[in-house]
Amino acid sequence: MSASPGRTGGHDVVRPFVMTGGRTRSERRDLRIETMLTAVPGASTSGLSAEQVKLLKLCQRPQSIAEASAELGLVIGVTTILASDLVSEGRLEVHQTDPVEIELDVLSRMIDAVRAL
Amino acid sequence: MTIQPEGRPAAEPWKPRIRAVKFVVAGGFGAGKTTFVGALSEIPPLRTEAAMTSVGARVDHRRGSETKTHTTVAMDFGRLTVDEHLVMYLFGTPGQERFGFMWDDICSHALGAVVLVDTDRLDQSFPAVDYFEAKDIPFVVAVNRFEGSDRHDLGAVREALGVSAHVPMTECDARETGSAKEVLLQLLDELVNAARARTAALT
Repeated sequence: MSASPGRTGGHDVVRPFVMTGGRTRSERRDLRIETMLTAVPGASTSGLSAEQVKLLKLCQRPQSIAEASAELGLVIGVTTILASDLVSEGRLEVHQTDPVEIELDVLSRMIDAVRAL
Repeated sequence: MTIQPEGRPAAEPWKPRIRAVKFVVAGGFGAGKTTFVGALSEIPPLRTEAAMTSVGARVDHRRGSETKTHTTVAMDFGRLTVDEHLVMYLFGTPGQERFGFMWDDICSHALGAVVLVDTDRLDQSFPAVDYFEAKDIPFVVAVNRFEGSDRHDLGAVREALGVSAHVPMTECDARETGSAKEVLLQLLDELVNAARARTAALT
């Protein structure tokens, strides 16, 4: 028998979602790839999975979901679901994500920063 | 064990306050997306993967079937910190046009986009142009001038791509920070014009 566990075609993507209990979609709609997350001061890690502990530790400094995914080697969808649970439990805070139209003063700050490159 | 944020007293009331804004860099395979992101990013571009599984599940939801597309697409992104309250992210869209349908997850709430064009493979730019036009996401077109290649007639490129006259079009060298930043500034100018127009419409 030549079965090679874990390398059978196509399942490499499915396996990460075991960490999320098979869920592939977050309940929260405000978590996008650029959304910044920060660990709530004093948040407990009790009862968390190893991946969630890593995520929470990483978020001692503000991290976007994309950065956390790159750092932890997780696909974006998995990080989003893990983060979503931590937010629901009050361990992780979501930074401003309101879909507001961008204001002129915010654009000016961006323009100054880009010019300074 | 508890997590204690660095340099922040636990007693201090704290509110999340960092605003992250997103820009998308699109274009065909080999058009220079990651190079462009790298020229502007304060960190070497990071690579992460998005699974297509969720997209398949959503598409087939109404039929009650759970189709899983066992594919991940890699995307590279960079970061530009404006100040302690504002961070810009530049996301390269995953390569080929067949991934167009998963751009929604990446592009939702993007402030604007850059479409990088390789004139040897103009057809690869069509999906990005169509996408941003359809989604009403402001964008600029930048023709990447590869080493040794001739200067391009931007009017001809515009015509070939079918890009509206109001969309800014420019040439750039994606390897050069100075050149890449002019493209981003052009996009930001577009956003300023749009914001001014909105303000004018309200008064």
